[in-house]
Amino acid sequence: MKQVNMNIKLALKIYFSTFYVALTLAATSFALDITDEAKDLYIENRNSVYQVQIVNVATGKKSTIGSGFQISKDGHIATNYHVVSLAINSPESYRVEFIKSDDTVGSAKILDIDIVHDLAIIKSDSAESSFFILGNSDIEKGTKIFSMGNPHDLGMTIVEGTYNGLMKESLYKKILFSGSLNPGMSGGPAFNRNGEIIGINVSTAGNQISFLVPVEFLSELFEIAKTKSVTKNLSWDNIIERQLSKNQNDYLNKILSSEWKYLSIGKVSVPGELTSAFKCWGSTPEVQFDLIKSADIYCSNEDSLFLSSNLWTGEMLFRYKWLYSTGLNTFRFYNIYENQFKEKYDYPNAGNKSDVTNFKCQTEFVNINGMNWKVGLCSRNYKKYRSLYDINLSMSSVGEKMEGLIVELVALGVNKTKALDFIYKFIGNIKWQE
Amino acid sequence: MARVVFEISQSNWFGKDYKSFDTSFINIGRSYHNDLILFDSHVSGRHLLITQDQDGWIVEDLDSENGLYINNNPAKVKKAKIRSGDKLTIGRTHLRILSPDHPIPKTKLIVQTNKFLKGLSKPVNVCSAAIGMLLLYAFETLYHSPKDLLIQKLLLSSVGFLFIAVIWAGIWAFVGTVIKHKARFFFQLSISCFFMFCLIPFVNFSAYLGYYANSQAVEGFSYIVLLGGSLFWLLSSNLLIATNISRKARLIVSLFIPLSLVSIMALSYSSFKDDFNTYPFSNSSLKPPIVKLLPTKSIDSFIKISSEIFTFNKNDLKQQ
Repeated sequence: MKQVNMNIKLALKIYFSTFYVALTLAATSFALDITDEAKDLYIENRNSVYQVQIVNVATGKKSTIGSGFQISKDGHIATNYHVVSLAINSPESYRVEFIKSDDTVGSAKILDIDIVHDLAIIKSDSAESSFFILGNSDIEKGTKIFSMGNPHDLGMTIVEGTYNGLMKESLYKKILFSGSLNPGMSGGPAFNRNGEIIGINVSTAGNQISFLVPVEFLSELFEIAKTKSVTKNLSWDNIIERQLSKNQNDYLNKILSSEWKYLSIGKVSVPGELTSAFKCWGSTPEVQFDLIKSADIYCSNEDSLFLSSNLWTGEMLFRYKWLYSTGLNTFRFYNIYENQFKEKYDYPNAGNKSDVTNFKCQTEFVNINGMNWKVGLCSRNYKKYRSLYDINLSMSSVGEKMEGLIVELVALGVNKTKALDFIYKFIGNIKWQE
Repeated sequence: MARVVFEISQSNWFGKDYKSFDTSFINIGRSYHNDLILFDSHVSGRHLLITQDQDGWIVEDLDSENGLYINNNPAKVKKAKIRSGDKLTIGRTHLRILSPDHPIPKTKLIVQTNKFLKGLSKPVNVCSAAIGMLLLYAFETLYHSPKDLLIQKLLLSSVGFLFIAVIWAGIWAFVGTVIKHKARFFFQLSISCFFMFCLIPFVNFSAYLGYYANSQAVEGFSYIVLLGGSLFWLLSSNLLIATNISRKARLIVSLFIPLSLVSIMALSYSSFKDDFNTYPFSNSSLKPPIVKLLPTKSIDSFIKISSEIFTFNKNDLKQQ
């Protein structure tokens, strides 16, 4: 009887909700294995993980929240640069605080930052004595790792996920973590079963696609930070400028020395993926007219550096638009061509007068590999970081009556010499093929 | 021969009327036994008596309700001695009393419209100017479109411009009616249409000139000269047809308006040019290769020239 009953129940379940049952069962068995491990790790490490908050001095209320974790018995706490950026950019208006697992609040000072890898080390005298050991990120793909942090100010949580290796095609090395990171968990630790740090939570693309900063960058920063004392009055602008300058120098050198890939658009051979960090996408606009056709290519390094909520940099992108007439005469063709050329990238990376100057431009007719082009180059200066510029190179072929290519190159946060070297090589590699 | 002349102007009528008398006494009022009968309900039946004197006249208010005023003086006058050229106000009527020897201004010469304007005023040319303008604007719309549009659509887009020309001509026809008692609407319309017809070639010429000279300054200068010049021509023609003002006054008015427009534009440019903008405004005009380009630069020299756009002065870098 009992068995029959059970069988009927089971049949009904299967009949009505096969999918539901299967998922429930799978999840239950999966959870049974893991939960205890995560629970143990949570209990073991909760005292070394903090909520980091940036508090407005005038109102005493928090403006930014993130997470952080202790990495030495002397009170060194690691977090993200973007978590503490407000206190760096306006130290007179914001202070750094952290909240321990027992809800007591301590104050901390910023010791050092790595703007390129989005890391910061803060220090406090009132921190706990327990701390994490910095491991290494060179582990097998598929290894189970755990991340802690305080998402949306809901309380400290532990998340389990999978280590999926270093992103090969990223300009700045990052670990792909298949687990759910959420706002507020930034700066929190990601560690293996032994509690050794693998990386630092930094960002998410949603749907279990999350990113960690490899722990090696934290170890490097910690080596330098150890020798520093909090009393030293630091000029963050100079430090940030030096780090950004070195970074752009390194990646532009890499671009200049690497073997570029070339693409063909219309009758022109153009630079494509300059390094493996670049991705190119092709498209044909949805609205096509009978009398004029076009094709687009868009390439970018898809990576940027956060400086403040109003300013980011480090991105490079370029786009090509090939236009050809299939019925317009040359005057009508050039009217449309001109309108397309007037559409420029609108530089959302800095929308504040206090961060950047206006653009200054230079336009000339230039002969490039036998074809006449109209070439415009614009630059604007960063006000706090004077050696860095945002660049816009806009060019358009002007030698053909019924066809033409528009090129736009955008580089954010580069210095003058390297930018001009790069533009020289970029322009020189645009070849009209007949 | 007349001994006295009255210049009569009434506030509800723009023109002036003249009446001459050769008697020594002149009664003025609204009733029919007066010498000078005025159609003005604010004037009394018997209002004024004017008597000739040795070297002028004596004017006397005959206990009128609204009184007598002399030469816009706010005080009422009962009796006074007046001379040729003095102005009397009774009710809403102004009377200027003049002796036959009163001097008159020099004879104005009739303003001659030039041959070109005369030609434009012919009905066939009025029609051609309007149709020409309509077609040119339709053509311009077609030239900016990536597809071939229907002629109805194209004409519809240019009807708006014709409408502007009609309104402009209407304003000047009104001015003409008031000043010369002659509207000459179609003449004004053909001038307006001709002006708008010229704008398109002028704008295009400036754009091409700026492109081939690779200079926005050249383009801007050409715009100002050509468009300012056309506006000057338009205004002076409008004035010539609608008014009687002298050549000198006409030139001053028609120069003043374009110049003040240019100075307003220059002022707004200079006050907004340093405003913060995230957009790279480079010279982005493109024109078909119908003329061989001026000598082009090599990549090396372009890079060399470009290094100056990286120099920002203290004012640019000032943090707000």
